Amino acid sequence: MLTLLAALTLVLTAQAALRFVIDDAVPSDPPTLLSPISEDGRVGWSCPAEKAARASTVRGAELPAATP
Amino acid sequence: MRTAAILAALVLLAAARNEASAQTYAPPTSAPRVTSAEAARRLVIEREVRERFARGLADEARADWSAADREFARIVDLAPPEPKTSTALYDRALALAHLRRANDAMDALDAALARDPGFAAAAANLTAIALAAGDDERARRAAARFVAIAPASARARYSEGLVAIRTGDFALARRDFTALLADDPAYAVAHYDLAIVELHDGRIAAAQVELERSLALSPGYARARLAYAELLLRDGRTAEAKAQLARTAADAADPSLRMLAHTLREQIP
Repeated sequence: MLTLLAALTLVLTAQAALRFVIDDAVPSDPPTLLSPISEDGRVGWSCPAEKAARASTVRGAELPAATP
Repeated sequence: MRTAAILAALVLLAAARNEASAQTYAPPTSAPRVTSAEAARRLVIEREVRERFARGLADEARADWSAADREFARIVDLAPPEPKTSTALYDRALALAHLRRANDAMDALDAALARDPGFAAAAANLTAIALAAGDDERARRAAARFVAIAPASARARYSEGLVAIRTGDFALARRDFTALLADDPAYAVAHYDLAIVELHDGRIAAAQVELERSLALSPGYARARLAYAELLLRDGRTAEAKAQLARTAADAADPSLRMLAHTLREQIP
């Protein structure tokens, strides 16, 4: 009976610890806002904001870096 | 003497004529003519729009968001032809977001997208502002729209993945972060987010692997190290957890992360 109780306590403690980890682990930050666009800025591929929005690479998309 | 004077005058006259013939003039152009009151009105508006764009962008460059808001609001009122009105709405949304008027900023971006449904940057900023404001439902709709506009966009996948974690759609989040990593396996942040998805799905070993990958790529990534330390703690590996927490407390730039790591470390017996 005592062994069962100890095992149950262990399981509950592990679950509580996992809950704690999950609650603490928030996703990364939203990306920063893309830059302003000039009056004649949205001309094809030369618009930096549109370019970043449509970029297929992480670097081109100006996504958040893994910072300290 | 008289002959000499005549010769000198002739030489001077010849030089003057040469100089005059060397001058060039622009070909004559007709002055702008306006044949109707409506055309005149259009020209005036065009000029005002151009000037207000220049002033609004200068205001944003020096972070005078209130002044920028006024300039772009006036352009929207003038309703110049596309893409100018949707661009002004986009620029106004940036000013409003910095003025902490998130709802107004999102409304402006919705209006920009209504005028130009393919405006990817507007969809991107709408998603980012909704995420930052904690408006998960609006962020979810904006992210879906962003992905529909630019299916290959890394920013669209990343944004949709974040929204999916927040709204509990872990299958979608897994798909987005896996797709990002397929394109760029060295992106430590996506490994971290995939670890969060695995944690929520109860796949602890897989979460640990993703955190280890994230930290191998970016050893200074404090958020990943804190999550990794907590997993070690959960497994009873207290000495290793303490070492990871000590490093997080020392390295983290974010004061709340530093404090959390410090407090956790202090609580470990």
